[in-house]
Amino acid sequence: MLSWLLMVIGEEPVSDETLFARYQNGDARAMTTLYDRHARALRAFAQQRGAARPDDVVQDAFLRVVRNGASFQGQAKFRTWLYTIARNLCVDASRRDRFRAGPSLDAPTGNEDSRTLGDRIANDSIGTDASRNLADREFQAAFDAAMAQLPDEQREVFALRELSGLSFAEIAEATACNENTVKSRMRYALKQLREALLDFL
Amino acid sequence: MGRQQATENTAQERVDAAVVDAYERRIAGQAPTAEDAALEAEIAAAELSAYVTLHQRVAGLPRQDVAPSVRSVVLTAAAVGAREHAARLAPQSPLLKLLAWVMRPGPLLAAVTAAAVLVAVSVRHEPEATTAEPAGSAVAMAEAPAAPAAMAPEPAPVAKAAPAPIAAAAPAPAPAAAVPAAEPVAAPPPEAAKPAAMARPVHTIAAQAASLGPAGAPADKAPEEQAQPREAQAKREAPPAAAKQVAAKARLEADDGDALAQGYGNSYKNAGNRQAPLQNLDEAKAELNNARANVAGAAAAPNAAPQVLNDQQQNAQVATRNQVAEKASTDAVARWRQSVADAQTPEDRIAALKQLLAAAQAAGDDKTAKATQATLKLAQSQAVARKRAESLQDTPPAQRAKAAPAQGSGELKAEKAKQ
Repeated sequence: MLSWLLMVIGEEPVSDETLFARYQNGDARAMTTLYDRHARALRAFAQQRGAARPDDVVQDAFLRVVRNGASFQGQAKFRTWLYTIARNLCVDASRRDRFRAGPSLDAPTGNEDSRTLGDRIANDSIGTDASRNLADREFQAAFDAAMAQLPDEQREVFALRELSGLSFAEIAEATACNENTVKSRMRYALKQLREALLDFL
Repeated sequence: MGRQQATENTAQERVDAAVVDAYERRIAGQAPTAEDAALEAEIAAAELSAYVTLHQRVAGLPRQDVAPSVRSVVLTAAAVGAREHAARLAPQSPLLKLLAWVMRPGPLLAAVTAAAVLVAVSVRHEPEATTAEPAGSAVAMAEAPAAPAAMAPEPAPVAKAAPAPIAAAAPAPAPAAAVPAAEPVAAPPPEAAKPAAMARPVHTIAAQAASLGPAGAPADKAPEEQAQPREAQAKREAPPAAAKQVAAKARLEADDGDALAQGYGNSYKNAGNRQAPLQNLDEAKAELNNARANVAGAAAAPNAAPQVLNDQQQNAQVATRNQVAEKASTDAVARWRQSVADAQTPEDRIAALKQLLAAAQAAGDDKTAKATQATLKLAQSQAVARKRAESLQDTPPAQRAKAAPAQGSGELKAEKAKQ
């Protein structure tokens, strides 16, 4: 109980593996902490990975973690395991979306900004775009467009490194690649993004 | 060609890795190393700066939150999963573990089989234990109850309180070696009212009664008149049996018990069985009452069933004769027992034992007969031994030594020393 309080007030950093071990022992609050720690970055990764509904990817990924919690033996990092699940879900989702007839409301709309079609439909009527910084909106749109032009491997490595914060070793484990290969993909992604976003840099 | 391409790819990957490492160090705010300086010489230094700027812009981009519904769904599932995990990992109490282990089919079957075997063994041993005869000598055999129906233990307050005229003669003067053997002879047999005698032929019993002399009651008395003395006689005879056994057991326990002690102890355990005469007497009394009622009924309606009345009268008379004959034989045996106890000399004792043996055989009391026979043999052997001892005492020491050269008794040695 004391360790839990210390963890809540932030005096004792608790690793993901420790939290998940607590969850395996019946502590549901540990899963809450893990969700709050990784949900947003996981959504960003799923969005950059091309998932039409990144929230669904986040939900499915965490549900798989909950259901298959007994199979996690702590041999890999929890974050690596979570992103491997999310990556597989994104791959499955992209395969399904190929046969989708109409555009999804959760899908990014493309060049103009990073908002989804649903966001645009909802926000255009309210008119909240005025609160946004114009430069950020333009950069966001250019960035999304540049990311969309990247090959999947490079976009995946860049998203995992820059948006989700995984180390290159973790990315290499999650993508089942050599670490130098991951770094090489990272350099090419940086190179292409620099060239695409040269006006904003 | 392919190998050279692979080598070049590997080299390029190393360069790319070095560039990315330098980029990582820059965005981490670390100082550039000598390797980074060499890299910057190869590639434009502006490229690394552009990478760092790109990183900063990307990091500044707003990230959208996950929908709250997703959070609630995930956390609900997590709560359920946590309960399942806790239930799976919860330590069970040892009792529940033992119960779960026992309730498996294997141990359950083994327990049922073991219980069935135990029940079967106990059921098989129970009749053996109830019918087992106590280990004892001829004394115990002589005093054992003859009727199996009288095995039910019953406290005998009457036996303890009633006087014991026959048992009072038990500590009769007798040779020390013959005391244990003489006890059963002095003890009154409990077979006085043996129900088997009821089924004996009338002529046999009548002949025995006639041979026993005046001890028996007249056979032509009415059943009403004979019932009272018979009951009193049975009550007089039955209690001394238990009292005698108590006295005998106490004496044997005081003597620290020999082989006969166990027999007497076992006989004492079955002291309650000596209420058999009383039970048999009650049965005879009930039978007489029935006969009386039948006679009364027949007298009330003489024309109704004269044949039935005659049969009942005959049965009642036969039962009465049998009981009178049994009593006469019992009296004869008791009388000769008293004679044995009162015998002053071994010869008189042997003669009395012979008469007692004949009376017991005439009364059909096999156990008393066997016990008496054993006692008679013992008395005869003692008499022979006594005669030999007397003849040896009369013989001069020289002849005695010649007659028994192997005996190196102290007395013989002393006489030789004197000579």
